Amino acid sequence: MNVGIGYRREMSDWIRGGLRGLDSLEITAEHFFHGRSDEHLAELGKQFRLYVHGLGLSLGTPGPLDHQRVEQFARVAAAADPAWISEHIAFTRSAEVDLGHLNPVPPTRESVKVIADHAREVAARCRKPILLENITSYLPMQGELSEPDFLNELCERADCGLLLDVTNLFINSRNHGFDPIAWLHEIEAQRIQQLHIVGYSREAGRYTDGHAQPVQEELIELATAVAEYAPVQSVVLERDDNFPSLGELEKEIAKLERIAGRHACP
Amino acid sequence: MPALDFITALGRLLHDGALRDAFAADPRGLMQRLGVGEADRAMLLQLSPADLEFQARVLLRKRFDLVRRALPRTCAALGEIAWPEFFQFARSRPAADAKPFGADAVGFCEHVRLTRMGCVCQMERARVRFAGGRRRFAVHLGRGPVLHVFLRRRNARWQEWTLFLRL
Repeated sequence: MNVGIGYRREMSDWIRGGLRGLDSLEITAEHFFHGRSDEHLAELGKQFRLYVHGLGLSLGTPGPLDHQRVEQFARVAAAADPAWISEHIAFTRSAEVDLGHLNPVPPTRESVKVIADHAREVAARCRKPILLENITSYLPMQGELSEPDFLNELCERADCGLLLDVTNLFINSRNHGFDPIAWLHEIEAQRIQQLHIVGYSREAGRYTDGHAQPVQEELIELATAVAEYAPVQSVVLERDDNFPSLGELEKEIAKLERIAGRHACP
Repeated sequence: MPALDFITALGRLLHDGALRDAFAADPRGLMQRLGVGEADRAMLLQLSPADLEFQARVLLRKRFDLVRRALPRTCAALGEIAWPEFFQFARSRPAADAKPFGADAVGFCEHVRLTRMGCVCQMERARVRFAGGRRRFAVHLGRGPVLHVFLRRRNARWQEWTLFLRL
């Protein structure tokens, strides 16, 4: 299992200088939509295994995808030449409004069809395998399918892997009162190819995904359980805010090495 | 008229605080008025107003994070009331775009100028107004005195220069 972090400008100097234990970088596609960045991506690709991760394709929105965004995403994927691309099981905009962030889709077979078709379209355009990621949702929904069944049917229909965000699973389990291990064992193990992890936050009595905290021990335990259950190939730290010092970042990477079953270098 | 689908209905609820208030007061009546389809209506009626408000709050927080990047000094001057002030400003205002120097930054800056004049950083105001507009060139004279020069290139990207003047 390789260990990676989400590539952020705030940490780029440390990344270029070399971080102990770091094998891969996850590029947020939208961060490279504008400007002359293809050479930069190619340079990063010489040093690290790259993944390209999208935020705004809104796979869960019925109707055609935003053609311009898909083309921009494909351009970034071509420049980065990632092992795979990924996006979210969510919608960020409706036919009327751009909400700017990820929101849950109803757990129905219609949603499976919409997202699977969109995922296949993006994968074909980028000529890369695609993984789909579970999100945090503060809206518990009951529909035709339980969440694990929804994810299994989606991955089968889209012929894709699952990017399991351990933090999102933990947050949802705490907020909605279910056992994350029981949930995990209902997911088809071979689909889980990559993990995301970052420390959770707390707000107004709920667990939240601020992407701004160090990884807590209970998240490491859950991620380790996933790694023992499924053939996970990659674990990525998704820190977006409250950036740590270099020493603290190296400690965070060491936590991921524990999940990967490696001993951190002294 | 075709029935309103789940995604569109949820999108409306999440970006419009007044609509969420109407949902909390009379969820069935609102679903009827919006013309939501039967199957989607049943799923939406399962949602609690408190959960909807929290999900919407998370979205607003993401918008605020972008505004904070565009207006760091203004938000610092507002201190602890920066987030509550933005929450009230944006609760029933849909985001026109998801950019740091977009409509939210321009709108919030003007809102603060009208309600808490002393907190607005004039340089930041000049910057977001230029970024959110279409002018090719602008100049702002600030305290110091300092001259800020803004130039928009053909590819729509813009640059800023700061000249420190000695009089």
